[in-house]
Amino acid sequence: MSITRRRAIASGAAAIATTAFPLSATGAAAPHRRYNMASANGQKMIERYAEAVRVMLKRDPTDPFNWYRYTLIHTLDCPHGNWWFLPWHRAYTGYFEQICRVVLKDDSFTLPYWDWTAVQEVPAVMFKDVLTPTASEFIESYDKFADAYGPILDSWFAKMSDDQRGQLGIRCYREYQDVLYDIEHGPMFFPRPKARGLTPQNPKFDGYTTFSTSLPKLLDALSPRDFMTFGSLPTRFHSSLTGFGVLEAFPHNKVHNCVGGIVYNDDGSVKSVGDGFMQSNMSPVDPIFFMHHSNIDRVWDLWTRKQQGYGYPTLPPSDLLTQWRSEKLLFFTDAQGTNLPHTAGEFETIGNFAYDYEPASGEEIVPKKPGVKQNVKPKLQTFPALIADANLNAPNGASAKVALATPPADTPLFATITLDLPPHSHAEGFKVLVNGDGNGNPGSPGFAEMFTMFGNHAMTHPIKLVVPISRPLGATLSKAGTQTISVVQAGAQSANLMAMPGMTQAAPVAKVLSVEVSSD
Amino acid sequence: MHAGLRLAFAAAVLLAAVEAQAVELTLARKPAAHEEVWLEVAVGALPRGAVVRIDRPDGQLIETISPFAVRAGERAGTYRVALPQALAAKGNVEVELTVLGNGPPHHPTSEEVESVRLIYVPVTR
Repeated sequence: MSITRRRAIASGAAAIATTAFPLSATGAAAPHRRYNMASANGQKMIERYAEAVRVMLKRDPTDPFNWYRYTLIHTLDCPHGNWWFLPWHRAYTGYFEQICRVVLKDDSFTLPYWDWTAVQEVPAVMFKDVLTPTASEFIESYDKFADAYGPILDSWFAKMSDDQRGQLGIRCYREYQDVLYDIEHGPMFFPRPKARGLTPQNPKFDGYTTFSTSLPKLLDALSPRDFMTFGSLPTRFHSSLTGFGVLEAFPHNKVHNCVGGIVYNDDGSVKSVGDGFMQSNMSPVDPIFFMHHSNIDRVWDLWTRKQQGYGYPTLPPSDLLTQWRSEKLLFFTDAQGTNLPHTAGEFETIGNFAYDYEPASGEEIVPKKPGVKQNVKPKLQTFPALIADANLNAPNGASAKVALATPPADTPLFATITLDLPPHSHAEGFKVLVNGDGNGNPGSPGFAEMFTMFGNHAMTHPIKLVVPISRPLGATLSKAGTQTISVVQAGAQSANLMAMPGMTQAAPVAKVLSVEVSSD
Repeated sequence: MHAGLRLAFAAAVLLAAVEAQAVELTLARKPAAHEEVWLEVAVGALPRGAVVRIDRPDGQLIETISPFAVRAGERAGTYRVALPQALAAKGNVEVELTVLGNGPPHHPTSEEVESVRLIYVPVTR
């Protein structure tokens, strides 16, 4: 039997007639509710979930609903440390939930979530039956995994589109053997007895994980008003890892690593850098992965409702939104067992997955009267720029694109630029230009400032420049649309930035790491 | 010297202090209303299981950075860390960074922590 999304929604709609559901972030009543696994409904769903895991573990490796096949989608394609972290994992858990309904033949199933702020240990039920990857139903060794799934990966690579191969190329996955090598040597696969780090005898988080999942830290994670600080930083590709928002960086990573066996003593000494799937890109082998990521998605929904309540944006700024929305997500298997191309924008809301969440930790941050804004609506005063070309040795220097979402009226502007310079860049000059295409000298169009190093500090760290943008350049920058800030090395490439005599390696490259515009 | 450049030099000198001792960063300006000062830490390559611990000067834990899903030998990326705002009340922020799980606990090398800076984050609380 298979189930269509239309059927799932229709069956849920019948339930609405008898049950009052709160509004989700979309403003519509959701036909499905995801429950806290600690609640009575959540415990029932965990029992159903165990049945689904058992069925999927038994499916043949060639079956699209096989447990390890679904894990491998994460291994190949998961984004971390970038702004597609949240929508990708919403899709991954959303399709998984629909697949569970199919294998259970139960349209009412929903994925429970693990509120690790309230329960700061692996819940006891997750050590039972097939809810722990140490159960006998899981594959016992890497060799047996490779024997069964190497051919599956091989067949995937043989049928991949150019777009899919291009995305995997960013991860240096040219052929299936590259993936197997990473799984074995990462390591990503852990033998059955070591499949999870925390144990029934020692289920509690270590002190650091307890700290990062505590309510004050969850409220920290929910506090940003911009999508990127909350949900991780922009990159060009979802296969690149560069920058973490606070939700991904701390509670997300810590829970993965601690459950996966990376545990510290309270005094800071390492208790164990042990084994466990949850620490790796094969983490969905551990059934607790989906409870963890259901909670991450709940926190995103919570943040979204908070933003809506205050009238703040819920997505990346408008000048970057098209790029964010149009990122291709090409590896998902849906509830029909098919692989169709998607884009990130399809998952910016819960949308057709049609669920909401039983309230839990952090709910207090949502304004009780939606639409009521804070007494003082502050203007955004910092505007991150997207680096277009980081290389200062490029013909036109390094450049970054920035748009002031709400151009401040008549206020001084500053560009904060982080430079990564080679050692001994003492006498170099770096000109900062705003939409500058002239010669970049003082008085010429677009010239803002020139920075020169001072003294003889060895450049072992990136440095930050705060460059004032004087009028009328500031007015130029405040115009609607994307503007360009460039950093150009003064004069021709000088000896200081070239290879020193006798060096055989390539000349060190000076780079712009970040640009940010602030109004004062 | 221009104020902006003075700040830049201060930041450069203080960043260089990461390897040896506590980090002291100067605020470019006071945070605006509904805005907080946070830390942004660029973390380089760390071995599996290693973390970067961030403390107040009195040793009280602020947060630990625990990289996930990073391939061996690759940079661990940039992390935004919420700070107790009392730390920024005097116009500068002092924090201490320690690397755990990569040999004995030690102050980060420039390969382990590439940069530390302050950022202004608009918030709702």
